Amino acid sequence: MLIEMQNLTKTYGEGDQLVHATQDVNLKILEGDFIAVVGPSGSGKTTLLNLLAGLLGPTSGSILHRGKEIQHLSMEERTAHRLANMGFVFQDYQLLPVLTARENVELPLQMRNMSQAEIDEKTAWAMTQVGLGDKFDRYPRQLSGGQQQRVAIARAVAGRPSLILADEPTANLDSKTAQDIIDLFKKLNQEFKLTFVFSTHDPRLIDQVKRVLRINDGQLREGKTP
Amino acid sequence: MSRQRFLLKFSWRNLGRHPIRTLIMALGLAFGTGYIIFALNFSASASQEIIADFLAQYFGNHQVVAPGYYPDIDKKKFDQNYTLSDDQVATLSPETYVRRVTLPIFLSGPRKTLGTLLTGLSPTQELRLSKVSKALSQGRFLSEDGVNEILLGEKLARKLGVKLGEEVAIFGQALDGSVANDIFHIVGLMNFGGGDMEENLAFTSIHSARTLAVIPENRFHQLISFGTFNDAPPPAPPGTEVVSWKTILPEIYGSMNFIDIFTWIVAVIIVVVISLGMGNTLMITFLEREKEFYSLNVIGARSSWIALALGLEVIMLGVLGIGTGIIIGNLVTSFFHVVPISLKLFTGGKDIMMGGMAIIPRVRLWHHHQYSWQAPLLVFFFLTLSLIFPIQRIIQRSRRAD
Repeated sequence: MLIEMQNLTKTYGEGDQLVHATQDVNLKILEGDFIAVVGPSGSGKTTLLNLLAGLLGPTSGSILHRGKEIQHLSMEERTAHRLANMGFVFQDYQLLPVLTARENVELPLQMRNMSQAEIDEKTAWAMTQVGLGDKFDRYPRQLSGGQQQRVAIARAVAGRPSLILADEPTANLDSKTAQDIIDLFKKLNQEFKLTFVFSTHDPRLIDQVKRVLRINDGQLREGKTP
Repeated sequence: MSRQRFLLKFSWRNLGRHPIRTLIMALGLAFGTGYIIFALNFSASASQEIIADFLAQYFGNHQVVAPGYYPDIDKKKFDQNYTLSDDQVATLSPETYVRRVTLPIFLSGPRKTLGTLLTGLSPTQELRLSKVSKALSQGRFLSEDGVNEILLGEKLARKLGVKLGEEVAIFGQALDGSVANDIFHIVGLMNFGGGDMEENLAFTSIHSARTLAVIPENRFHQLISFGTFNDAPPPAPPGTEVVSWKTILPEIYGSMNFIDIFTWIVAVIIVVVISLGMGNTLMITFLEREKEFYSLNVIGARSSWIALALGLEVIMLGVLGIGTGIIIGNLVTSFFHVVPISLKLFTGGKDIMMGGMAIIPRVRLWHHHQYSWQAPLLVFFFLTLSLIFPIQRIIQRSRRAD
């Protein structure tokens, strides 16, 4: 078991203003899962991903990562936990404009104090996997949107994390490029058993994933049918 | 090592994200630092040059006297009965010292009789070491073998009603208790810029003064140094006392210190103003990158990593700006060393009066090397302070609350 959420609730505000972003969520994520979280805007998709990443702490309930409770960790400990165990892909890529593609991929590896040889090896592997082996030294502004998202994916997978979270990774891309990104996710999932959880509201992608989590008003339900 | 290199590269390139803004901040630091170095050098050089010029005219940098010559409380009073002999100061180099005899006397002319200070000096030595002769406006300076020659301040001569070439009568008390009196011939008139010195001083040769006051040929009152202004006084030879100009003229030393302190206060105010501007600009720059810092935190950057990256940016900016400022400050100082600044620009064309003497209002700047690290350190200290609040706020924001 990679992740286990038990009776997880996250609320914002108080009194009449109380909003349940997630409500009594129970979820198990297995190693090698390929999961899409779907739901309308404001349904709680991003909150769920943020809870998985440890960016938010739950109001009640618990989150276990390989049996270890992460909700009680301090912010700094959660950051360290994320660095060691997770990769994150953003909707708008969030590449650092002053770094080349290679350096962007290197960034989290540098933070992990790896040797330069290990960093070089992992960076080359990740860039090759995303099909950008020839664009190492390009800056983000010199790459298309799809290529930038591939660099972001390379950055997320380079450290071979146990969980890759992606928040609407195809929302800014045209349909063909979006399909290419999902294909890349699938390839990395199948070849390297990397676990993916990504949010989307693109219905075309739903048929391509093993598991679909539907979230609405903070309530989570599993199944491909709406 | 690669991690540090990566961080340095990241921070360095971030400086180039807003080149104009970075340039303006670096220039602000450069000109601020440069100005402070220049201002401190100017202040120190001005007070040093003006006081050195003033001391070179009459008082000297330090005096060797007999203990008791200057009563402890007020160094402007003296007791002429305390003299030194040549033997007592034999260890002090004659190259930088002049001997003087100073006598309170009455000087009588056709119009008035006035109490005056008669200084007996060695003409050759004074011409070589002091600037007393520079005040000569009419006639000639004293000659070594002249008898009963006298130089008077122009103001004093006017009050006495005498002119160049005429005679004055002197009477006072000799050291043996007898009445000292004689006729002196006016060989020159002195102009000290119209100040008190011009009204109160008269000069004769040390030989004539000794004869007048019945002082043996090997004795004198003061051995006055006209060496380097900043040199520390030597240890007093046995049976003598060394008195620095700072002790003889405490009010002038105090004004010199005040100018130094005032310049530092202005420097700190300038640095605080620069730092506030820098802090505000840094805050704006960092807040523009708030989303980036959040993303960095999401992918695993600890707040210490983000703070270090931002700190390095500011340190690099500081090194660039302050380093340029050190060069600017020293170049400007060097320029005004070669081309002295005329203070007449600030005094409406008039001389500066100090201690009753007119000082040439012209300042040659000198490098005071301590300012080349003290001023940058001050700027860097406040730059670091200005960084604390923006970084603290950025770190708080990058870690959005649960």
